[in-house]
Amino acid sequence: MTEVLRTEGLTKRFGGLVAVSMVDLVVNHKEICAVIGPNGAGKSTLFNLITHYLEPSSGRVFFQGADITDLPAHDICTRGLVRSFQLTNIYPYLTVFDSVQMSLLSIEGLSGNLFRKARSLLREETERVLQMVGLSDQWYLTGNLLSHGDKKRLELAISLGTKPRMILMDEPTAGMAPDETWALVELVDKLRNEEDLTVLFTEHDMDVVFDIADRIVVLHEGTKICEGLPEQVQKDDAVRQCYLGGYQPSAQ
Amino acid sequence: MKTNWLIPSLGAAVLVVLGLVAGEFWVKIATEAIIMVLFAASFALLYGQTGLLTFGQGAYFAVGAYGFALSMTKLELPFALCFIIGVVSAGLWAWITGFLCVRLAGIYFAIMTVVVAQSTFFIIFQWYDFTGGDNGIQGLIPPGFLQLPLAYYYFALAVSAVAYYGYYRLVTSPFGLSLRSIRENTTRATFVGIHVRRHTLKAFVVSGLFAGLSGVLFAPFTRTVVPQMADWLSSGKAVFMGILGGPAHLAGPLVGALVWVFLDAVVSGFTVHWPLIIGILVFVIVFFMPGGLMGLIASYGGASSIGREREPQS
Repeated sequence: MTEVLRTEGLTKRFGGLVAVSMVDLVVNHKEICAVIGPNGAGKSTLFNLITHYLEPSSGRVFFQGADITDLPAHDICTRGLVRSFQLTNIYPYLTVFDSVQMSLLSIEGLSGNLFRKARSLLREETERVLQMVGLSDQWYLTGNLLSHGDKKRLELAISLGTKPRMILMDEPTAGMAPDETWALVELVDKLRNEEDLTVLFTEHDMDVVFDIADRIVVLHEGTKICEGLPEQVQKDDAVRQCYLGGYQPSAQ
Repeated sequence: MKTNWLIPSLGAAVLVVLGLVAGEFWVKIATEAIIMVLFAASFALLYGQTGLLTFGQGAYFAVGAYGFALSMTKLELPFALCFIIGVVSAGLWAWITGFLCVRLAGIYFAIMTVVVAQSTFFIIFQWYDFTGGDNGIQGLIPPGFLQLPLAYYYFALAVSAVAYYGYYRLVTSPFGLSLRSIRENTTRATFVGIHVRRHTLKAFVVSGLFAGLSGVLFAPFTRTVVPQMADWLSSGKAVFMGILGGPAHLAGPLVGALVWVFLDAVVSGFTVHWPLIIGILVFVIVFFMPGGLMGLIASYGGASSIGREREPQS
């Protein structure tokens, strides 16, 4: 298995608080890896460090073998490492079509082009991404008019529009209805198989985590306390104590 | 979706015919309005498209006008060359000052643009040897037949029409979409790989070029340039015209500037309380029609039938 993402000793301090402490993480090609942990464990901060939304206090991040720790956020995206956000982060007054087309234009290096018509560029590719997430019929609506679940799907489509090699999803199913959640899980699995996508995600819904994750990393108070296959993590005493409690996977 | 050319063609026809039927007074008012369209567009590009509130477009308007005036009086260059120098110097000044401004966001950006504009004003105001200080520069007479008001009207109309076509192309280009995505959600735009600062600086410079072109057209029209072109009242005019028309809408600056200048001419014809009317007008717009006149028109139907869903909306 080839390694796609690696972090070495990644640490973030906010004043006296150590939000993320010496986290070593490896994610392999086409793997779906979950990061779980109680609220405030440092999951979102970890994502923010990897994608350079926040500056790490120390540690390095490697993506496809290259050190990306000091690259600006937009360069990291251009290299194929994209993220979605915990709170739905879309363009409220752009249409669904424009929102996704923007990502494609950006990744094709056309975002600064003044001499062509945006309208006529990359239409089929945009349509393809919209079909993938099931938003084709709503292409003409502005983002603010979508339902919560559709906004989450648009958010995913905006990320997928950049043709990523790897995607970081921060609670992709938060606030979704159960059927929407499982549709998304299926979609992510399909993307991994068909688009060779590598996935790192955080999630509070343990049914989703144990259903889809190949491997689970458990954070607690900024430190990695456990890592392994779902069965191993579930049996781990420390994890049960601090987070899982008496969780039993349901028969999904 | 095909572009709807009917309304722009009708508008252009009206403006062309206007020159033939109107008297000299109204031709001059129309000339001013046509020139102000580009000034309003420079504001709309930054605020309406990119979401950057600028109160300093007067600086580039003035630098354009002074670039033209100085190369005409000091260097005695041909008209066309003075014209180009004026526009380029506004663009350069926007590039230098924009480099500072785009590093800031929100209210700090707005304050920085005011600071830049007031600094520009004082440089012009106090540099007597070079700019003539508060006397300004007079005697900027255009060559040959352009001295005729009607000829200058058509000249300004032609230049503005070409520039506005450029504005239309910019707004509908991939770059225009990038600016709107920055306006809508700067963080999200960054995380789809958009270099936000580079794009906003580019928008800032193009906006400066529009303001500069407006200033360059204005100087030989009034035949004088004065430092007040750079002050905050001048910048405020760009803001008001842009807001009146609807800054996010493609036709917003055009409608805003035309309505503003003609209203000014009509109202100041029968009352000295024109500033009061301005106050009430701004009040009404801000409270009741945040999308400006074009936003109002769009909300009364027609919007989707002409493919407006592919245009920016406020």
